[in-house]
Amino acid sequence: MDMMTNPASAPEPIGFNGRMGNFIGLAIGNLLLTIVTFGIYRFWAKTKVRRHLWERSIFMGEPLEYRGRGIEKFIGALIVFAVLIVPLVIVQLIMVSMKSAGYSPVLGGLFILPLYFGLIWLFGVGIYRSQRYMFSRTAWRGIRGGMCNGGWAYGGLHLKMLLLQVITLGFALPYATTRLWNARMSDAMFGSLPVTADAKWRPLFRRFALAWIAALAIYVIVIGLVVATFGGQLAALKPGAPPPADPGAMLIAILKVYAIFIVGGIAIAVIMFSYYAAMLRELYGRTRIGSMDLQLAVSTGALLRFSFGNIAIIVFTLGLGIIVMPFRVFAFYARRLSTIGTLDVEALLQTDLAAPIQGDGLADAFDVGAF
Amino acid sequence: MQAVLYDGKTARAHAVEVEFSNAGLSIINTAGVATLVPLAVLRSGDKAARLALHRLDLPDWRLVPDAPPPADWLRKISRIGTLSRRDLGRYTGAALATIAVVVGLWLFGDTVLEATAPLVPSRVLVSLGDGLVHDLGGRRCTAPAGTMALARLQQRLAPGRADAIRIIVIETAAVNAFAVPGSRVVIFSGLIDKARTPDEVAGVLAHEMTHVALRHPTKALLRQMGVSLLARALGGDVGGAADVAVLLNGSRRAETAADKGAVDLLGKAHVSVRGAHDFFLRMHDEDRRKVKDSTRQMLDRLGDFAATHPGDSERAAMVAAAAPQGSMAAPALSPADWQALRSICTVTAAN
Repeated sequence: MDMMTNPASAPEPIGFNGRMGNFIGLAIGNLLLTIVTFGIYRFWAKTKVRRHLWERSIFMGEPLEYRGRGIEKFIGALIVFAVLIVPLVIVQLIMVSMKSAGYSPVLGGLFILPLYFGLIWLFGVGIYRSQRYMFSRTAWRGIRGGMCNGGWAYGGLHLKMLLLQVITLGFALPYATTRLWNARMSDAMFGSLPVTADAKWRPLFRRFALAWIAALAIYVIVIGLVVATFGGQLAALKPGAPPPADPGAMLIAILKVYAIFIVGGIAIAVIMFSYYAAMLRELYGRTRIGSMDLQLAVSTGALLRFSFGNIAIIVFTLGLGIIVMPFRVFAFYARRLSTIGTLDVEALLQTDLAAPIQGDGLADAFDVGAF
Repeated sequence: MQAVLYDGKTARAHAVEVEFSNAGLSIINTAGVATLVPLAVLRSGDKAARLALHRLDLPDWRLVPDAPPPADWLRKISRIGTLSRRDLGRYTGAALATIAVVVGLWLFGDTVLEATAPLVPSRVLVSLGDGLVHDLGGRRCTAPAGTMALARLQQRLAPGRADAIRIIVIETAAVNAFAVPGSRVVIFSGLIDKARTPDEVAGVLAHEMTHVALRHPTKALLRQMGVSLLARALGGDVGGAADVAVLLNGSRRAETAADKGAVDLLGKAHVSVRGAHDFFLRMHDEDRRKVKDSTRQMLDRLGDFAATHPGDSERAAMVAAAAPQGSMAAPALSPADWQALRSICTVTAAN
């Protein structure tokens, strides 16, 4: 499907007018309620967070609307407990018993291998269904989103891509990422408009390979530098070696070694982040809703500041800062997302896809999703 | 007043004129045709920026007035998401039932486990327990003389019921002993090596045998497979943490009960409680040897609070308090049997 977009049309940013100050109150309230309810409130907490963030995201002058309800997610979790967790525990108990009965480990392996594959497959289904639930509960101008399938085929693709990465020692990552994204997004609908994605893996692979080579080079340089400069002093740290003559100098040498490792680590992080930024640009940039293209303006520097900022917030608040992460993640994307071209609102009709009745309990069971 | 109407069928924004009346909301389209939406189906919803009106009968329908409707009109309609009286009753009922279940499990969970543990078929427990012992790996110590000595000790501690419990010695340096489902007691050879007298081994064995008699392993298993899983599935990390707190409390109570039972068994068998007392004290000292005295007490208390077992010093104090140093006390094993037990690992078999 080749689209004719107006070449003069400039990217129009999605408006996001959320403020951290407003969100913190909500997050603290959610945290307290979650604690006093022994965690059961978390389903309602997540729903409130989404509603807060969606309402502050504005497209063509009209905010998004989140229609999910906490009870839906709660029931979803109950169903997963009954149909997945309880049977898994029973299987586990049977396997422990089987061992004592003298069945060979080979037989046990034959039993457990399909189980592991099944779980990875279900994990993929969970990712798909989580998106299906979220899209079906997202509306704009009264028009809802949706997903065309149940996610079972996507689960199979998820398993296949994981196996491909195992046999290629991780070098299939760009291929797997783009293929999974394209499959997941091309199943989505916004009202009557299909969403299409055709992210390409080849341009990403070049960056990926370069990032790997550069990271390897930095690694070799760092190790070489440490051995060449401090090798003699560090030899004194071997077990059984005589104590160093000058402990002060020894300490300084150790600190210098740490400094080199940290600088090297940051350099590798910067290079890897350049790949991730390119990947995000490719994924969103090749996604379109009807005839409208998306664009995510994310630079390596922005991604770095965002990630190190997250770490700093969590560390300096002794972990409590994790409650503002949904806001940080959502805002990071929403503030950088733009649309190119126009949406024909006259032709945008209500979706005829059925919305799931319960929430994404499967994804919750596997703990996926930032917000 | 001007308003924008989204009919939920297309994304088109319809410019309309609205009037707020006691009967409801009159919507006049560009052709001048008016429709009345009754108050009963209208709901007010809030968006971060401005107010939108919803309809209960048309979930995708939205109306956004250019300015907020008059406050006294707005008071006549409920907010979206406001529960009907019936739903409110249902939710309140569900919430109260949940609280009742949680409080009930907290207060009577132990009684429930007490009642259900004997119902689990012993065949299931035996195969599970054997599987768990098998998972420990290593080798079993099976020297005949040592095995005989252990059987005699067991017979002395529980006369007539000795065959009910199977004792397995595993060859490993770790100092530990525990009861597993299916009436099995596992003793690591490291514990026998560490013990200075047969009375010390007898104390540990009496403790583990009491665990078996009180069905503690079965209860722990049932608890783990039931309440803990549900707590984690529904409560996430917070639910899991709450569960661990309850679990630790229950575990410490079970250990205290096993200590009391051990004192009782030892007393009836005329074995000095001194051995158990010395063993716990020594283990306690070894654990804390590296810790400075100034911080020791605080760490001790913190450790006891988070531990599955009562603190070793606490246990030793209890055992010492309960110790009637009867004149009839005799060593748990004859010198020959003690020697045999200490060399039980000279013959081993695959576990």
